[in-house]
Amino acid sequence: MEVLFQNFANLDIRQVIMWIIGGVLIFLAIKKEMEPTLLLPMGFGAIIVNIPGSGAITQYVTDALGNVVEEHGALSILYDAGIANELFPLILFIGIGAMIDFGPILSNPKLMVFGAAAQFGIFFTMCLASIFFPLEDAASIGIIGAADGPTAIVVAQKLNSKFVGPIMVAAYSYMALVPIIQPPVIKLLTTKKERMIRMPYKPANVSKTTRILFPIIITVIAGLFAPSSVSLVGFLMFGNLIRECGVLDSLSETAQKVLANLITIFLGITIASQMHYEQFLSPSTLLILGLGLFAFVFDTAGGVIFAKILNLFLKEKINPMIGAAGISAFPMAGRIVHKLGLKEDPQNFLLMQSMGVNVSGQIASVIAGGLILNFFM
Amino acid sequence: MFKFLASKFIAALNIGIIGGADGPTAILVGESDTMFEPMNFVKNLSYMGTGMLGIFIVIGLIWMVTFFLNKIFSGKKDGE
Repeated sequence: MEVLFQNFANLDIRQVIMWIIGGVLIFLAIKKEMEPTLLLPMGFGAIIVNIPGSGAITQYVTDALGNVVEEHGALSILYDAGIANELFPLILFIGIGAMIDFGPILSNPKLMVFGAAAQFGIFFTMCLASIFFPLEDAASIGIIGAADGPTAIVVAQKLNSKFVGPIMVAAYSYMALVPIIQPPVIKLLTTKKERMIRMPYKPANVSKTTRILFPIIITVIAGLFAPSSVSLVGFLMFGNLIRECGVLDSLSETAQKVLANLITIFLGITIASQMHYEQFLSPSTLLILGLGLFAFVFDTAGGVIFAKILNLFLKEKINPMIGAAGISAFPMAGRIVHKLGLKEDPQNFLLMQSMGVNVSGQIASVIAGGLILNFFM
Repeated sequence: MFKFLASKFIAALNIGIIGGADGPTAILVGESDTMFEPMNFVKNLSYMGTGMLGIFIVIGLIWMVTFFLNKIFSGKKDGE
């Protein structure tokens, strides 16, 4: 009879705290519909990982002979198979690349500069984080600002950061919170008059040849400047090439739906294997969560302020809000800017411009990740 | 003064964990990886400069390539 209850004695209050955190993530996923594909598996994973003696993660137990043996848990096996070697996020990038339509940015390529400007938060946060953490860890924390889960995981793993767990949780959680984080920052940095600036959309005709050559050329250019980014950029662009070539429709559909969903399931719940209370509940984690928020705020600010600076020299003004769409949270950031524009002026349609900037932010964030890897590898 | 107070605060956080009456946890937290070196912010600004310049150069190059791709292949239908 004692055997039934002996595990209760192993329960730690910090595990209960993690159950509550997991519950909050599940609540945000279901009730508020915030990135449910990631927050729900992460939330549930946080609960199962923090049950005493959980068989979901590797445990070290003493057998009858007094030897300490390793009992492998499924989540630990999945972590070693797909996250420790960066495989899952890279495969997910194939699916993401297949989902992206580069048309808006190809028809108006000058919008790409806003994608570049909106990566400011990554480097600024890296400098700020270096006050508290060694530089490689600071760089891994800064990359939270890429607003791109796969890039954050790949960079943190390659730099052997000790904080992979909190970094992953922060990256995915803040991506879900973009609709809450961005609007106040945008409103603080812009006037109503600026938010009402209209940007007529005049799409240029983009040929199929251009759409096919674009992912190939991007991979070569990014790889020459930042060879460490070839896997990130290459897998993203490979997915896009499958989409644009026109002869692999079934592969494109599989990549966009089945592959992306499958990897997302594994990624979400496996990330939670890093949410064990011993690793997660520490002052470092709180600091990382705070710095991650900083990164998102300064990404948004960087894009908006860059647009405002450009407006000083342009006759045909740009709506500075589209700078905020350069954050890589695709397609949410683009939609947020479009909605804010409609709120100020119901006739102001910024969707195509903001989605173009959002897409360029995806490219720029991957390049930023590659450059950071270049600095330290 | 600020650096002194901040480092004491971080040390206090680590000392407080003794109240957890849990040796392994105290060791884990005591060997915390946080530090407080404000001058690192200034020292590492060069990475920020290089990184942002690098992104703008790469994006600028991609912009130019896209511009020329559109020029060379313009006027041709997507269906071809």
